[in-house]
Amino acid sequence: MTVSAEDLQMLADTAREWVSDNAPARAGLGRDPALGASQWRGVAEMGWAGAAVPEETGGAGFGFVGLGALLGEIGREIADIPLLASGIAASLVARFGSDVARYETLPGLLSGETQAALAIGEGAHHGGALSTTATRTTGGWVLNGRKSWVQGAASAAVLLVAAQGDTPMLFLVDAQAVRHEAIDSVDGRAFAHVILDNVAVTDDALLAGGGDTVARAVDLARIGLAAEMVGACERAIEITVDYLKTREQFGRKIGSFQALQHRAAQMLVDLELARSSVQAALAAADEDRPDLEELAILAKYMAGEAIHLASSEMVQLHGGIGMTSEHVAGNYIKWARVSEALLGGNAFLGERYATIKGY
Amino acid sequence: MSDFRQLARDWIAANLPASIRIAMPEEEIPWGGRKPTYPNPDTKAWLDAMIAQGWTAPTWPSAYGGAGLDAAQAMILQEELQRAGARPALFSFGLWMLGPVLLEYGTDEQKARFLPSIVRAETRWCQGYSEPGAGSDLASLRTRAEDKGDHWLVNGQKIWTSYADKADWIFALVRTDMDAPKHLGISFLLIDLQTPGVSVRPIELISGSSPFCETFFDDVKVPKENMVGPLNGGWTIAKKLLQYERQNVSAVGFGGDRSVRIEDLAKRAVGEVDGRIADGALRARIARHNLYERAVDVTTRRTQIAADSGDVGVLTSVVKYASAKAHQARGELAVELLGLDGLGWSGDNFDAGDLNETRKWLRSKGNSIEGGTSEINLNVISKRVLGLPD
Repeated sequence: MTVSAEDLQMLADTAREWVSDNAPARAGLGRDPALGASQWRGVAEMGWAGAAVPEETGGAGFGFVGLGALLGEIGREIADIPLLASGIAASLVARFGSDVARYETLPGLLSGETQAALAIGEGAHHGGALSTTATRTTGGWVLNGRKSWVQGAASAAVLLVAAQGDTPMLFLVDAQAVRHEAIDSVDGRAFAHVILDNVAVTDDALLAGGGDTVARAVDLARIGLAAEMVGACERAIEITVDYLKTREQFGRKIGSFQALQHRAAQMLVDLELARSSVQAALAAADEDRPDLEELAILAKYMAGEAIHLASSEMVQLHGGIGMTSEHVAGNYIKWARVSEALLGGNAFLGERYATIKGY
Repeated sequence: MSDFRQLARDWIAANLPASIRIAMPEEEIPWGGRKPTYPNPDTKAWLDAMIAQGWTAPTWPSAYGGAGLDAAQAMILQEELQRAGARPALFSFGLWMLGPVLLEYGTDEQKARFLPSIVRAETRWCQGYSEPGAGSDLASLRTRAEDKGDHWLVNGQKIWTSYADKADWIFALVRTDMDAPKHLGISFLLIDLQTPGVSVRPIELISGSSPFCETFFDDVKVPKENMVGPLNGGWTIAKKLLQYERQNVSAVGFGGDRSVRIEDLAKRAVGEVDGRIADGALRARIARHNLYERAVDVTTRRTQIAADSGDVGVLTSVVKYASAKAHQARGELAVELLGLDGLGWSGDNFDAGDLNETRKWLRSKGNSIEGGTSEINLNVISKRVLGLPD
């Protein structure tokens, strides 16, 4: 799947305009749940949820590279729009879903009418074996367990749930069948734990491909999240650099001090390394490359390094104003830390990388 | 598959000798020039075959010995060469740095005279930029070229001229107006190193011998037609060429030798348990380093793609800065892991590979100085990309 650089740029430009108009980053504590529904309607109308799904199966055919561009724009404004989950769910159902899932659920996912959530992580670091179980019954499965930090769980109509049967398995589950435990997170995004208590699903709910499909869902989620993080990092640097250009101390613009210039430049170096890593991973997802997991880890790891630095420097370089809730810097640093921890923090990712590479 | 990809793949399969599909030992690097050395005859055969195709300079016009490929084809060729594990047919500052500048700023006569011999590996070039008093502040250079009517008379000294002792020609920045503001009095001059009055002295580094030299010009007569671009207009050319240099230094200069893996040194140092480095903290550090190095690799690749489509851009400063940092971090890790085995200088008490790691570590300290210091690259990024004020 290839999309031209011009088309990609147009998609990103349109998205930037829409996100900054409709879901701009806001300062202050708390969040406005009413905003979410109207924002999602806009995203659905533009067909973004089908960005990564090929045209022949009803999507927009922009590939993961295209979905990544959209997520980057959402990340720039640290908007709480669960396109990541719906976009990835649509691509997985289109490719691995049963006939029933593809005929009944996919159209809604593509149109955005059906919002999806990814219930793939467990525990504070989202690593290790799955404790959620899938037990065989006649004609189906029973799921038990608890998935943590599911973004958009409350507004989603369907969830992709990773559970351990004979192998790791991925199921499409009706949101009505699970319980939510809302999380009041530091960054104000709408996360919830999802509790599966003897949830019965039919064979049609199972996505083909076994453990590889679970692994792919995790890889894609890490890459998509990394794309958002690169967007947020880029914006954090822009806001900070703008401040360095206007703020005066000692009778000069503080951005003229070399000590601060070099710190700003180092943020940009890390951003560009992360951007290249995310681009490589998105391309690998489109090409279905065998080293997808390595590149997904690389993308999430480098995005984590870049945004960790940029969000910390954003507060420091703004001085006192950066510590107040009337400035947006605080929301970037909170959003950054949550994203860094989701789907495995950098210590976890480094460990996993070493294991894959055989040392 | 595209016709061109198939053509390239078939041709490479038919022409690439088996013995040069592997990592390149330093003594086998094909530099070309008037006095070339090819200890492995296959190196010469591969070079000749690539020259005949115009593929040593695939995007250059065929009139000058290139293949006239567009950016997309050049990318495909590059991918196919990589896929086949082919060594670069030719290492050349002429190809990497001077050629692109001549194509943009040279006269038709200069292009016809100099480009084909670069493509065909007949002339080896070196770069005469830095001077003892003009490093990061390059524009304060003092080597002067006086207009003597029918020739330029050059006097002065260059330093850090890589391989000047092995090169045939030098492309040099010279001062042609002593009174103009410093950036405005500089010209770009091509000088045959066999001209009377040129002398070269190698420089020894903290890591031992090195490719660097001092180059002296003592009443050297240079023909008038050897100036590239307008009189006193050399600074624009110099800056463009520095971008090519940074791109090249980071892509080829550091980290080219990946024959020893840092994780294997770590296993040797602390042992392994079930195939894992026994010390968990060390393992984590190695993984973090390797991830950073890989990010630099994908960024280098991204920069090359941008360059192939004609946009050298500021990514070169990012890659230059980050690859120096990565390579230095690797050197420090290697020496730390080897312990006292990594701190020998020569002799049978030490393993040859370990001695090599020691030299590489010391040599890597230059990575953040050569081709634009890390500080200068951060200046470029903060001023030119981020637009921070003076």
